[in-house]
Amino acid sequence: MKLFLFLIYFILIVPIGIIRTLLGVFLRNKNSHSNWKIKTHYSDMNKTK
Amino acid sequence: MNIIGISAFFHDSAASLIIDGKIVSAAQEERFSRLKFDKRFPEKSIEFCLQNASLRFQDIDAVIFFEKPQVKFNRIMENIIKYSPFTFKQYMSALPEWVGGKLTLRNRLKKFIKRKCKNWKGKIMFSEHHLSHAASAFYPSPYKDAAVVVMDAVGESASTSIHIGEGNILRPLLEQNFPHSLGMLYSAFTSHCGFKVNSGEYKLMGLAPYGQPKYTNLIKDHLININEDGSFTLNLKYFKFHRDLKMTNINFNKLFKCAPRKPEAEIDSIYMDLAASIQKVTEEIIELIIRHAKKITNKNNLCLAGGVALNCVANGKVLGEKIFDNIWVQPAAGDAGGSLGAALAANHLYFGKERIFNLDKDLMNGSLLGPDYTSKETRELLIQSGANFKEEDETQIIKILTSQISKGKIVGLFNGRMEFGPRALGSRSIIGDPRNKEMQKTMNIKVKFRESFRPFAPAVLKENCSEYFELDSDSPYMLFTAKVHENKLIKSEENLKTEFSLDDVNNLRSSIPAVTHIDNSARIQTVDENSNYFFWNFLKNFKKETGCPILINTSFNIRGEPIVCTPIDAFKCFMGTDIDILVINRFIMFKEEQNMNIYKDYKKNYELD
Repeated sequence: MKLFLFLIYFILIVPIGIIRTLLGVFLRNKNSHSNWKIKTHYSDMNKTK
Repeated sequence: MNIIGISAFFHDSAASLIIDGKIVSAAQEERFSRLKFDKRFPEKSIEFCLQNASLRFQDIDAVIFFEKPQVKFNRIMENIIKYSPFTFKQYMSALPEWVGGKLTLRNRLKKFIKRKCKNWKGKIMFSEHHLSHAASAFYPSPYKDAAVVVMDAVGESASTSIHIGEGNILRPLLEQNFPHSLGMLYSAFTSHCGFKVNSGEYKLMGLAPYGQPKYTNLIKDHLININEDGSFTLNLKYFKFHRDLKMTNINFNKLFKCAPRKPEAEIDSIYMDLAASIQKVTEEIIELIIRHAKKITNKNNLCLAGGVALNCVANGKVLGEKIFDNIWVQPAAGDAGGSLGAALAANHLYFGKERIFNLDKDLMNGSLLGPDYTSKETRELLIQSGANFKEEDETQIIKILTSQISKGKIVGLFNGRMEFGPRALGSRSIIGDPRNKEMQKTMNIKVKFRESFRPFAPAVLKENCSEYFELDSDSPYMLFTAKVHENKLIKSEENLKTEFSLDDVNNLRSSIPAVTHIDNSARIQTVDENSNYFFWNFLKNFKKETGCPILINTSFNIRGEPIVCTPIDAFKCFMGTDIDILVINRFIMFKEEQNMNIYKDYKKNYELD
């Protein structure tokens, strides 16, 4: 199990993370006047997501 | 309609039961398992809730979990990807737990229910973490409409949120997301000052008055960018919690020029200053958030929940600012209270049931929602424990306790239903005389076995509160601090200084020294006839005999131990500490009449928190 998790981390997660970081450099939101996000409704209580 | 709410798998598991919108029972799992902050599935709490209401599982219409496991998992994975390759430890620690059961929570709940009732027809539901907190604050409050603010470390992804409550409707308005979290910021300092995260935050709050807020500018210049609307951004350069199992990193140590304090090491003045500084910054941010909540909701009432809402010093300051006319804080503001909020959210928002509320009184029943024991049960349990006890009527017990407490004796008081939430409110409490100048030291060291700097709270008759404290509102759940009234303070050179050391705890500061903190503040519990009759009657008699309407009220446990739940737990704690007298409902026990060979080395049973 531990070996499996180890492989997943370095084969899958780290490369995705690097790509995401590189994209993030260009897509970063620099608005610093507010960090609030508007939320209009709660999600469906029947679902786990 | 019977609904069970559950919180579990992070911190302080609990279960709550509501019947037709009425809060019937609620309890934390730690009280039954005797494992502090037990996060396991709250099987024993659920059993208690059913038993207490004489229900079987087939009578339950819905079971609701306090958060969305899938959303939380997505946030954790996104975070692990975002900050890889520095998240390996976090990944290896979190993944097995999630794969091992948290992710398949619906199936786990189904299996548990099937064991209890094979043909259960009810619904399994999932609330949102901040909705659960918001509902726990709004629905039991005595307000028809209110702004609701939730502040904690993190739920699924929200760390701070503002909601609006009107009638039986609760709506979200704004939220801030992890890693920008006030709870995490406070916990980072808690950890750096050598206290445990998720349990030592209130120690940091108690330590803060000993220090000077020397680092507030440094914190605001480097660690956090605070906007005028109360939103903020943490500078992650100084933190590790978003990618590791630790809270802060080497940059944090360099910024404050001090290494993290080792647990149980001596507390240097720098840690006191750090505590004072983060407390001040936290208060400033909370005030801005609450001002913003007022601005966008335009309500007169405020409800608070989430772990940060247990910061009673900040609550006291907000109350003093009079931003809102009224403030109500959920007594189980932490994750345990999420179980109650989830059940209430299901009842009102999903099933659309009308709200029962009373403008004069909240619906928490004084937070006395836990187990109670009959005289027969208590007698049997005490005999089983080997206790030597007498049965007396209420008047006689109060008479004995008043006389003994005024002679400096310490009493373990177990009366009626157990409290829900982290505070003991007179049902599972240790009681002493606040006028006794030795009492704080004795109680901290010989009874609670805890740090000497920690203050004790006063329980005061509601009608006498303003004579002793600068507080003009009720504080039935010990969730507001206020200054001791000037005319009760003792003026001496020692007391005029503004810089303190831990030794100053022994200075005589007021006519109630045992409950006066170093900055002349006190965490107040106001007691009235309706919230806890016995305790009110006891205070009334203590005032009649001594002229003092106040008693020290601290939780009935030692350091690292959950608050006592059963008469057996209470008797063990009584025998393992320097408590002189134990009262369990109408049974009274004196230490000198007990067999002293039982329950030796009691404190070795519990790991320090």
